Amino acid sequence: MSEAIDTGREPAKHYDTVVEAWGHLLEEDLHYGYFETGSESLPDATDALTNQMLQLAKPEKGQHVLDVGCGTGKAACRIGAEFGAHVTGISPSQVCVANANNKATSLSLDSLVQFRIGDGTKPDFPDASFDIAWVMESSHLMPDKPALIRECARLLKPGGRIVLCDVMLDHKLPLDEMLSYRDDFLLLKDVFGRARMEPLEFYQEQCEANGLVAETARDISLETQPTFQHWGNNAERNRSTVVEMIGAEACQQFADSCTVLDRFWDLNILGYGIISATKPA
Amino acid sequence: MTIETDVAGIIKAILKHQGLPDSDLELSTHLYGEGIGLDSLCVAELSAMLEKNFGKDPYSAGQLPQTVGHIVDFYEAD
Repeated sequence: MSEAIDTGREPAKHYDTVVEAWGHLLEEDLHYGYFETGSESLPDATDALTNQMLQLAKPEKGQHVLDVGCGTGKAACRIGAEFGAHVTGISPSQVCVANANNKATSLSLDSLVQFRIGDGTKPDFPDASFDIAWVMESSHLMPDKPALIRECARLLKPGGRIVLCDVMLDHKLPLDEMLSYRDDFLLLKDVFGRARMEPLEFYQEQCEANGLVAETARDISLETQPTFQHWGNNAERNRSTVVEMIGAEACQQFADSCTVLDRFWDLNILGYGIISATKPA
Repeated sequence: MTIETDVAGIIKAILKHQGLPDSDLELSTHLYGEGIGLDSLCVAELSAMLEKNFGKDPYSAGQLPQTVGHIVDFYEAD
């Protein structure tokens, strides 16, 4: 028995509970950083990861972008502000959607960028609605990834492009290997909620199975690994604030999870990948 | 409470927690795939909850039980 790794709680509820505390732990973007030199600040590195996605997505003025799992809405607002593209962000989290819409409004982008409740595996849009499907570090929260990729392919116009980055398995873990890290995976489940990781090759296969032509598939585990040091430092620096929000045990679990993730990166159990694929015109 | 009842209760709790369909569990019920569909993290949770309840579990002992009955057998072997 060997398979993808699936961890924990229902993602929307988990997000709603922890989002405020996570702002103090993961900082504004709530996603991994891309460290080219290793000496970047976390905010610069998280911007750099968004830049990696933007370089693949190549959004243009007037295009329509679907942001699947829109998080804070910062990436969507960047796409609207910097490229003049229309962005629709979806998330199953009401807190997330409300916060993201507030952000777009505060930046006077609400005519270009809107967020609504939605499920990336069952999106409520007609076929060929979007030029770009943007899936930034959200696919690990969707167990039915074949449905996610299938729906992204359906929603793309001919010539459209999917770009996706996420935590990934380095390889499918046999059950006995997985069980040897049992308590570590259960800790990650408690901290990060329900997550199901797959190898980079899985995403490539799913794109191809849905008629998408792979353009880029890169392992960027090395560039993302310094993220954990920053998260751990934030947990220490902001401990009293975070403890007030989510409790001492949860705060310590987060700090411990950073150590686990760093070790999983070192052991090539987990890593990070980025992929883009186009729908034939 | 029998061992079988305790084991079934733990498995049902995991199914509920993971949003998997509830299932009538018998000793012959298969745990994975076409059975009740426990995936690797469900197995990790099962291992941890069995250990917490019984002080040991078959997975940590190097076994790979295929059915509910195999788990029960592990504890009845004592």
